[in-house]
Amino acid sequence: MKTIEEAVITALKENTSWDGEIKMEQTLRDELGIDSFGVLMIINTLEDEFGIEISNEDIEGLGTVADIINRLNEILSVNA
Amino acid sequence: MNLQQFYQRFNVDYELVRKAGFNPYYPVIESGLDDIIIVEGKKFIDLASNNYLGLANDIRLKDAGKLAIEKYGMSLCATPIASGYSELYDMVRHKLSEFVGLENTILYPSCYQANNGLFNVIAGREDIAIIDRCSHSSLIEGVKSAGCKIWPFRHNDMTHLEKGLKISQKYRQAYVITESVFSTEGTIVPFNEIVALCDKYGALPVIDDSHGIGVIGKTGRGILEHADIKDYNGIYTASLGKSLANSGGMISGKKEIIDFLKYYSSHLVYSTSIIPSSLAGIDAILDIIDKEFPERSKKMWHYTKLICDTLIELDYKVSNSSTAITSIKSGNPLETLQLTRKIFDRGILVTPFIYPSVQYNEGRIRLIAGANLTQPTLDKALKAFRNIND
Repeated sequence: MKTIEEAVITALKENTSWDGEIKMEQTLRDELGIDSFGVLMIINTLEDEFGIEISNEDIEGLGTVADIINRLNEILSVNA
Repeated sequence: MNLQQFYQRFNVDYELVRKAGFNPYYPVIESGLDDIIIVEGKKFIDLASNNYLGLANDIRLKDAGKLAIEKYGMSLCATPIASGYSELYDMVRHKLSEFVGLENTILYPSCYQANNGLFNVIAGREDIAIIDRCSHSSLIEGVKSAGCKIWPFRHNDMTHLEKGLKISQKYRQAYVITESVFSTEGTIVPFNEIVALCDKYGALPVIDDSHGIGVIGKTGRGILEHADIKDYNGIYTASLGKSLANSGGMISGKKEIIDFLKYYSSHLVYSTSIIPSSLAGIDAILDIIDKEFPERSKKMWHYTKLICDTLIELDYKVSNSSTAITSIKSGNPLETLQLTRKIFDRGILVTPFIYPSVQYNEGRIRLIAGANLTQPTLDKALKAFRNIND
């Protein structure tokens, strides 16, 4: 299984038109051009990858790549 | 907390407009949709409105509207469920059902209300909405209001859609939501494939045909005719204010669902009914489409091809449209407004789309040439594009 960071970066590349390097501090909207549906697509991919369910409340306030990784870490640690 | 602080929260961010030195939104239109229109005192060629068949200012529609006003006045001042349901409303909704080939129809004051109000009636937390990621805001906000799981699929990507449908099996009901003609791109949905996938997985298709009705299909009846779909068992919505040149929105489908919406859709039940002059206009335009669609459609497609060919020749990046929409890929929001300004300065009215209407750095400038335009007017518009940097 991929690490969380690898999985997030793969999901970002699969679901956006961004083809450059992805850095942790990059903002989803302004720097990577990801809208709210783009975020949902990334989350849905991660649900599939880790076999978990992520609620709408869980994805509120995600601003950067690091935010997604941190939130996923929290969810996976609760589910562990 | 005081009211001054409250109102300070609502400052519009005009930074983009300041940078572009130009605001293309809310232009003040001072004429009907003629060959040349008047915008803030200046003459413009209209490539912005959705007046595909060029009938919005047709004398026959205006006369029909006048007669309805004579009989019913401007409004029945009531919701349809109360006393806003006229014999004209009843007749037009059945006429629209026949036009698109579905069992039953209900009319909303706008298609935004129709789309926005549909899902909180038919879907809930135990359902999943699998929705094309380029869908219109009315559909997106509609599914959000239902509180269901939202699973966007890549634009017109059937493999990705099927992945969502496989996941959907653990939900009570899956809805597959899409548009016939995508309003910012001009792309067209492979609806036969979507209906087949829905059948395979027990999902319900929901299609918004706002830019298809009166435009595509052999006789202008929209996506179901275009895709030759018989016995459609899903839900169909469309705007009555684009090719049909009036106002309002329709939801059509099986009798059971329409009867349910009549009593449980708050966007319908609590909205003042669509006005009589619009209903009469819709009645009139359906008759005109029956007689004149081939000729008007031919003109519209001819103009569309001329515009598209010219823009490609001039090295504009144009979206891969197969419909009567031509869409320039205009870059980030600032680049989009700057190009729009150049086009406006040449006396051509177009529609710029920036985030959130499109993805963040993927602006579009949409051009639609209605069949009411004359060839010399269109030639003038094309010449303006050729000289845009002079």
